[in-house]
Amino acid sequence: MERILLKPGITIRGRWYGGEYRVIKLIGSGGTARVYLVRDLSDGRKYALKLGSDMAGVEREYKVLSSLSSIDYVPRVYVRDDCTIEGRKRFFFIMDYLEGENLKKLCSTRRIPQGTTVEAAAITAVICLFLNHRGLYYCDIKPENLVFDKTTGNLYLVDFGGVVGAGQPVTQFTPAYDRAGWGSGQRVADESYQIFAILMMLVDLLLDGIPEVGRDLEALKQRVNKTRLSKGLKKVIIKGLDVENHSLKGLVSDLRRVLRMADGVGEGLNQCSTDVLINAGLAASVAFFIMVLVFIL
Amino acid sequence: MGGQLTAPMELKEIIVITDGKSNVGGDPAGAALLAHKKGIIVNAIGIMDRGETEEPYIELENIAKAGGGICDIIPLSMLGYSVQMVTMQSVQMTIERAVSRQLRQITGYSLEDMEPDSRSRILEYIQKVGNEVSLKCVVALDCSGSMRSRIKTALGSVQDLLISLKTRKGRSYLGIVAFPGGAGRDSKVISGFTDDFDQLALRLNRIKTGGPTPTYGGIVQASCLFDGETRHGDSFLASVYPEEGDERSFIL
Repeated sequence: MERILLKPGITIRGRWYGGEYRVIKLIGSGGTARVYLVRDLSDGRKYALKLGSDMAGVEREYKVLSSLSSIDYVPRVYVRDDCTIEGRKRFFFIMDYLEGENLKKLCSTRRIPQGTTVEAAAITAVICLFLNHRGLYYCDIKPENLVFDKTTGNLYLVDFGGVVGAGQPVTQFTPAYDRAGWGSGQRVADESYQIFAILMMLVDLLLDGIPEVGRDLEALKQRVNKTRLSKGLKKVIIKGLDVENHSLKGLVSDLRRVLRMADGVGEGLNQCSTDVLINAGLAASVAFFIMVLVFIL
Repeated sequence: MGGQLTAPMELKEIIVITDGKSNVGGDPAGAALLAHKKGIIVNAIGIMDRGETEEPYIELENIAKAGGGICDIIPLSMLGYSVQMVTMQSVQMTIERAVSRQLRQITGYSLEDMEPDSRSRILEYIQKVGNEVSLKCVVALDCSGSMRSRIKTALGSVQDLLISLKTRKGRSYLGIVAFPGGAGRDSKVISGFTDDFDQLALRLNRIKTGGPTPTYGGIVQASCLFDGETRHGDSFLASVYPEEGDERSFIL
């Protein structure tokens, strides 16, 4: 874990490009890095600053983010630099601060309709598909990494530290969502790795936690089958966890079909209107992503 | 490596996993220093409860410092992540250092002294090499009494490491050393270097916990594995420990 924890009020100075950033608060901690909300002293605006000890890791993530800078659902990145804190060398980059909450927090603090959760999973699949086409495989799929931005109403993917090329080893993952941990394939980046993670996330969110089955995939499928989720949805989940060569594109259309069916997710869709904010954001995102999907496929 | 362009480079690593301070045998940092002099990188992972004293933390930092490796202090829940992260990252770091040293010889600047835009390409290259280089790694696992409730997670994290190592492009060999080693010994080889990870996973089941924490012995034993030797494990206060056959004995 990253050892350094910056206190609010501390100023970070970039060694090469001279930027000065005052720490407002910590907003996230990952394996080898932390993310802070900071104020850029040159323009007075708020940004997110990711600071870590792993030079190569920080550089790689910066590179990935800059290659995606034209894409709406990826935080825009600006500058990366070095600094020295408490006598230790650290590496950081500056990106857009998303004023919103992640899916994990949203799901735990208020009632999110099932339909919205399914929608979020579908959007995640579309984003992955989009990145895959650029040779960038986002594999650390988890609700903490999906952020709804309040200002734009869009869903964003955050934390690109674990993005790798096709067929490369996956280094960042959530154990419960990792197919290798379930004895169902290798820990390498491909579409079915992502499908597995997306569906596990869906199961986790819809059933308030993945049932305790001791990493026995068959047992998990049986448990899912016994739940009160709609038949259509159960079928999509079980099929997706099973079939090796099932495609992300197929997953998206399966999830969309489930959503279209009137009783698609049981109690789901009727209650969607209860959360206008999220719903509006999602609708906008979905429209955009379907457009993107049509465009790239 | 003058002239031996065909000879593949091989990295040597030890990963010490412990939940406390060494309480018997020599100074673990001394053992790490000796190992490092033989070209081995020694990393230390500490499983820490909340509110623990600083002492074990400092010891682990000293081990990593003397061994040229990484120190990671984490709660038990993050052990699986940490073990594979530390293993892979210390490979990167080792190559980073070697490249940096070469750079300094040639240009007078190390990697850190280069402007981020210029070093970016070199870092990409390092990553590629890191994935392709062959790796010999020993996990030295604390199996003392205090690990009893944690050993299942710890073994799970070793199996997790196996899964990750399989995905590397370069060859990977793993060995396992337990400390203490049972029957009053400070350490025991659970498995020598192997790339048969299924077989190795089976051997993990033999590990039992109990006794003090001879971290020094664990590191020395792990380091000996690289010379193709198996130490018998130094005896410590043998008389205090129950005879074989006693139900309290911790036979590994």
